[in-house]
Amino acid sequence: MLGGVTNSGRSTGRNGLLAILAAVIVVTCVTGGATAGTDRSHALPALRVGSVLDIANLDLTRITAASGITSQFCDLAYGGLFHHRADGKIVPEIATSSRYVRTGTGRNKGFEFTLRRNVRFSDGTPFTAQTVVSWMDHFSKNSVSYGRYLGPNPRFKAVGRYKVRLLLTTPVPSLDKVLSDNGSNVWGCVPSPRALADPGSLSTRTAGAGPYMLDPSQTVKGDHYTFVPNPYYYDKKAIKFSSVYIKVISNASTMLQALQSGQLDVAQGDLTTAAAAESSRLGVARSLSQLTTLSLNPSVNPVLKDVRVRQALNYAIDRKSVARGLLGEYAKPTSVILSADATPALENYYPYNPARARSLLAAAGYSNGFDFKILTPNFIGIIGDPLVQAFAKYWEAVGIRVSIESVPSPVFFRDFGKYAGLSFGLTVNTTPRQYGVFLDPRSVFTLWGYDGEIHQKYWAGIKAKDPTPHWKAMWTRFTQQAYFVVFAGVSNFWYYSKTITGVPASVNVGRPATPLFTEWGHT
Amino acid sequence: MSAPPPDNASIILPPGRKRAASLARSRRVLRSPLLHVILRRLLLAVPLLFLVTAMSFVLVALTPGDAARSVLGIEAPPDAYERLRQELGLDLPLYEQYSRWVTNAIHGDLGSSIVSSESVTHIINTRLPVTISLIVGALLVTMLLGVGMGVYSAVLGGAIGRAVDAFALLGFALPSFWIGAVLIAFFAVELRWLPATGYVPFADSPSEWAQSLVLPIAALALYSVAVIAKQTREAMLDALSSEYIRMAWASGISPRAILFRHALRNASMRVVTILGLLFVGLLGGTVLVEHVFALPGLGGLAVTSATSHDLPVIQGVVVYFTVIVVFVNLVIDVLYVWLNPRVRAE
Repeated sequence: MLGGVTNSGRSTGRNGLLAILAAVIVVTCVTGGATAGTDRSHALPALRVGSVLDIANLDLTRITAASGITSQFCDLAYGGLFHHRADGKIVPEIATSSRYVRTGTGRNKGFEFTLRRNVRFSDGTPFTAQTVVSWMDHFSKNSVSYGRYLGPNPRFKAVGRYKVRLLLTTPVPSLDKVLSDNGSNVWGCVPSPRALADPGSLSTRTAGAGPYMLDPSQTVKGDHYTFVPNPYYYDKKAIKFSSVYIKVISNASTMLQALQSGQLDVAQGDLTTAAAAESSRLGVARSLSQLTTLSLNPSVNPVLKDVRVRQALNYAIDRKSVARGLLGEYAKPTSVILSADATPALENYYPYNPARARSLLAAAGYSNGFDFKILTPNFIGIIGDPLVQAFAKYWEAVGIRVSIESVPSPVFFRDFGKYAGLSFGLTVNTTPRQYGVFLDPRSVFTLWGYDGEIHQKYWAGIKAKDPTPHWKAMWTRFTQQAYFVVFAGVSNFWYYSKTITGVPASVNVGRPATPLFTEWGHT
Repeated sequence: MSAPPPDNASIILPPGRKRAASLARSRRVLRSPLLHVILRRLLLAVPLLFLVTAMSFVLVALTPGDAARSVLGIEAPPDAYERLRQELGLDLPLYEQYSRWVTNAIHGDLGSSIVSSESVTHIINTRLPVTISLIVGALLVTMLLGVGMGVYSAVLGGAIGRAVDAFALLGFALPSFWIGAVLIAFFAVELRWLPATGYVPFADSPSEWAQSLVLPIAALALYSVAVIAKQTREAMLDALSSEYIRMAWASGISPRAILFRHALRNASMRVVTILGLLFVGLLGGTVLVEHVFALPGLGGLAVTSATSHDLPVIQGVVVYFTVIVVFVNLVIDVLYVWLNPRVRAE
């Protein structure tokens, strides 16, 4: 009893006090620890990112190559079955291991991976092999673009609770890369079965197993998106921010000013503001991620069927001067399509040589030149129409009479097949992705014709264990035949406050899409 | 000396007379010019809505591209493209598409965005407060600053008058998007007094809401302030030089009453008319200002939906803009009637 007056009473009272004090300490530790654990996210800073492009559609089946910041929200909300690291390596993420399996129908047609066991979607449902199979079935039937990536009639099978097997009719190499979070497609971004049961809900919310999830109450589509930590994410330590706020700002100078005024931590930059960003106290990370090119269409102008004419177009232009004059230090003149399989030695395959251009034209029977109509986009800034106008002077100097039509986006995509030359920007990407866009005979952008040797080399690579030598040979052939006139590689920029870490390492030409936000941290 | 006439409050009418008095009051209301103005405007609004929405339907159909291509992109196979066109009703004749839209709109359903699948009403209602805040703020600034400057310069004249003229010239010449960029560079980046971009809803924080609107409203209102200042100054000078004002001075009426009850009231009719025209300009100006300040308003929505051929959203924006313009013009007309006794008498 407390407050006893005898010696034994005093000691009883003291013991009681000590017991109560101990209980209070224990309770405080327990609740304080629990609070600290649950409130860990509140102790973290928010990440505020500015993006030029919008998330066009949250529904992954509606995502196309032109769908804006696809990679970022997939990485944040869905993670990926594998992770494409900034150094180019593919490492486990939700899938812990993978291998190609023999199917008896040819190499690279069977693929199997094993899932991590403690993964849950943001709605709490477990991530199992069957959820992956259901998603891939749905995606292959409903995707407007990436669904064709695994070829016709792919089959998916759950082998037990945590193993998935893909059985393809067409060989697809590097499937771990295809199923990764690198943003080149979204096969590996699996939504929960509850969301899949209501496909309409996929366009209003995220339902993945990634570290974050979309908070619709703090989101205005087209303006800003707020992602908050996924309470069921299997690796809590990987969650470095209390929220990720993505603000869409299409005006380049406003974007830079928002970063300079402290409203953003990281922002997507561009050529027009790069110098200003570098002269302010911001970090600037850049990678060569876009190519400016001119696709040639011999079906519109048969003159272009002659390889000597196409090579003449390449020799006639001074890439270095134009790139330096228009794009400054942020562009790299090149004669070759840049990709992970490009041969660096080919980058100057067509040095500026107007005399050679004239002699090639004369040898082809066009010593008086020819008429050359080009379509350029007026919606991609300085790397569109202004660049082609600059090169036109060099073609005029060797006798080629150039007429350029610069048009807005809807007209461009309606009329692109009607011009002998088509100027556009290409994202630096993997060979299979680029093949699908402008080399595959079935693609609407394959205007340059047909070359059996190119397709033979491509498919040899698809079936090989290591496709690199075949694809290098393919690009060499493509460059030698001058099916395109490639101008320059152009940098992609990300500006960042010095309190954010990991941005420069995450911007990497070996990984086709823009950087993954989950690789960033804070000081 | 006769007794003063009793005031109306003390008159007690028999029931029959009461009914007659009430009827007389109703007739006076029905004959009221204000009511006529309101009814006329509301009746005209209906055919106007039909005309404007039909025109925008046709204009969108005439521009190259379509929504299905915007959604699927250029790489989609032809069968997917045709399937989506059928799903969205884009393969139907134009008059049938428009008639379906009108039928749904009359029942309050403006449809769903082709690009994002969200309800059009929800998309617009999310963005409406931003644009309304911008426009109302710009109108208030225009009236207070513009009228104030105009009156001040008309009364004081001389160098002040010339300064207002110079300011008006600047306001006409400087584009709002340039002003916006300069304001951001100075107040947001250099001084860090105000945010560079974005909008905070009033319900989240009234003070941050106000802060987020200061620079955009300043950029938007500059031209209107210049116009109203100039017009008010000219109108006040005209009014102050008129005979009835000279009579008022001679009668010993206070300068404040002369300025505000007599001169400004007459001058304001011209200002009110111009304000109605300026409002339409402000509405269009929100497109550029929302772009520069990255505000999630209707102006930006109009641009993105037009470029992606998102027809339901375009039509929704057109309906909302038309209703806003009709409402503001109604207010202007009512103000005009109230200010001008001759209109009331007619």
